[in-house]
Amino acid sequence: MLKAIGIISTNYRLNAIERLSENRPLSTVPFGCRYRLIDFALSNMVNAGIRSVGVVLPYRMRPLLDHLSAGKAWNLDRHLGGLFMLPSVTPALKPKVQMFCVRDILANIEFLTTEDADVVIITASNYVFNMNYSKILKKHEKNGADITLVYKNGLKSNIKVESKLMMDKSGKVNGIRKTEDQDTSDLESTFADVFVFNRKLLIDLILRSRDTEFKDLLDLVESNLKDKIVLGYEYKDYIKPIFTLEDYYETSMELMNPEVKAELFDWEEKIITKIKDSPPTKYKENAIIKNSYVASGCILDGKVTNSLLFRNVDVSKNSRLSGCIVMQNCKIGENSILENVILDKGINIPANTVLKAQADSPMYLPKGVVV
Amino acid sequence: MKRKECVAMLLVGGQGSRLKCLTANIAKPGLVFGSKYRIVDFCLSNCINSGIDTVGMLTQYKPFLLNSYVGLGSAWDLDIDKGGLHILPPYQGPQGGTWYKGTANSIYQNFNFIDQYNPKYVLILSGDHVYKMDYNKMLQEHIDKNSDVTIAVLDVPYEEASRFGIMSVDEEDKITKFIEKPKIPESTLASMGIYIFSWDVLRDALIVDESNPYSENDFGKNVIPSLLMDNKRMYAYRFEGYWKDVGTIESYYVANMELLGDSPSLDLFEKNFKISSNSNTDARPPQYIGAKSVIKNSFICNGCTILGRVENSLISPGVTIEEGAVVKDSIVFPDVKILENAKVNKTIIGENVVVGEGAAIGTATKKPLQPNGITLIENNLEISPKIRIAAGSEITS
Repeated sequence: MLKAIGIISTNYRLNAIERLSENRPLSTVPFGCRYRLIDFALSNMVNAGIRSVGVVLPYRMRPLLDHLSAGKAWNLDRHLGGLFMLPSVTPALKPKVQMFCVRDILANIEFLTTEDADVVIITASNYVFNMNYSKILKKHEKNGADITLVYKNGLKSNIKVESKLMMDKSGKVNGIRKTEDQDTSDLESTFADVFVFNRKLLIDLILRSRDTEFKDLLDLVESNLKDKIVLGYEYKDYIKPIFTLEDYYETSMELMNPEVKAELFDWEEKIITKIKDSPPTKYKENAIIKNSYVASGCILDGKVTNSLLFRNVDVSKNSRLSGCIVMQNCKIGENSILENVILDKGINIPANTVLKAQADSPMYLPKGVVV
Repeated sequence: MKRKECVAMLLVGGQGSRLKCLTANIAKPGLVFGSKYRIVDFCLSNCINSGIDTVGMLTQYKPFLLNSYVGLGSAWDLDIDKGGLHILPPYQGPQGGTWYKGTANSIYQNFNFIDQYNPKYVLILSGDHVYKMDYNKMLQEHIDKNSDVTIAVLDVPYEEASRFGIMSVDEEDKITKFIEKPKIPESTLASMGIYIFSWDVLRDALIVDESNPYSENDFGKNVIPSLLMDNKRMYAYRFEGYWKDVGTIESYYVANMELLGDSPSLDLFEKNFKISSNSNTDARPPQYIGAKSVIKNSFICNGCTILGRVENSLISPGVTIEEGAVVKDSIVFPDVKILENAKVNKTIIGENVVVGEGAAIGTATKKPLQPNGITLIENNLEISPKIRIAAGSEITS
């Protein structure tokens, strides 16, 4: 088995999800009642037995540092290896979605040169997935690949900027096509922002690209397709990118689908997050909860359907929530009606409030808003 | 090493035999309480909330699960360099070794541990009680009164007094008499099994007690009465508030049920004096509540999938309740599976139990096998589909 280390990139910003990540990096957007988006990428690394993970930090890093801390929740507070914070060079440029800036890796080249490993797995931090990397590494080794790119057929996000891998019959990548604002009917072999590099090759490529360091890592791969063995790996299980508010809402609601639940949550590899150790959730006499996810520490006395409740949410008597995502520490007063609303952390909804939106364009209330 | 003001010694070695099959493979302090907690959480949280960061945990009966649960004490911030949590089992020395013969003997055998910290005071705790208490207030009173021994007491109803160690006190709460489980109680001040000793006094007393071949080496029966005879300065510390000795099936069941409802006797949601538990042992997803499920007046934890009906019950982490299943007035331990159309009534179900499809547990009978009508299912059992188990049964392997 190849020995791997990991890099997770968080230094990118997206206009489309701007409001949800206005005051926090995209990687720390709360998701699925008790997680942050980066938990998926990070847990996948840890579950694959990787014990050295570098996180390329975003410009506004406080929420991310707060969440990751020393990596204890992921068992990454190690003497040998562990969690490495890799400061980025420049703040990400908003209009251009450059997810893996070569310059950020160059600035942290020591992480690659000092950690002894055969391969480096590099991923984004805004995907919802529970991926078993060991299968990918096996194939990478067996086929003698220099670089493996993971793709997914039918991978669709609402942002319409995708990279398609073009491959020959043996699965060797011979071209990469960017589908910026082009037709979205073609969902074949979309790159899922997961790279596997032979470590020494990656160091070599990065060091040789000093003069073109503002490139994206994928562009660097593209310019080496002829000389190196670059293989595509088809990922068949559940994976969803979060690029827009619509992606966020749809993917959240999709968790209620039993197949998605089984793939993400019910198998032995668990998604790990920072422990808060809240009390159990209390269901009171008037609680009616249907088809919903609920975190711990909630006190529920109202009606909740098709919704996600984060930790320590109170829903008072005679309130009705449907299609809502309610983040940590929100309080919903009596007799309130909320439909298709996303409440950011700590919002108080006074009694008798009515907020309604359509399911295809949910209403988002930012942190600190006073209703 | 820097001297510690106070070291806590937490006694968790007792079996809790009156809890029957619930403690078949874990000591009583490791028993689930209030759905996500274990009984030992309360003492450990009390310690850290009182600023006591050095705890010796004395284990003896079935320690494995309890040891792995508390681990290094990191869930309670007790994983520190100088001090922290230490698990202290009986051990062998050059002259051999023995099991802990009694509560006092277990402390006697760990002289070296306490001496290493050289504390001024030693707090003796029993790990099988459920309560929130700031030990620091008690310690302050011990210091202010220049006591040798301070015993926490609770004013109990007269009819219950003969179950406890009962103290008579003078107008300054100085203890004048101590009788363990008196037939005719002279007072209603009951010992809560929480003692603060000045270490030099305790040290001498334990040496005397150990040299007495007739002693049972027990704090309540031997050490406290003999210190009283020696005219040591012993005071009662009056505690008011929630304190439960969940020593029997019935008291355990009632204490759990009292957590439910609008005005629970013990508030687990209070933020200022938080009870911590080790949730690190398994990363669990949020609880999923299905489209047909009904949940009334209950606690549900992370990792649960509830598709059936739950009423007046406490459901621990990782429990699955399938469609058509009904769970009423019950306590369900972690990772239990209750399959389709099973009925569970007034039952305590041990960890990892699978209740087969259509099984009925705790069904009404004219004469329950136990007067309280509580049914018990031991850990790790598989209950066959469609089987009927009468109320008050105890199902063991």
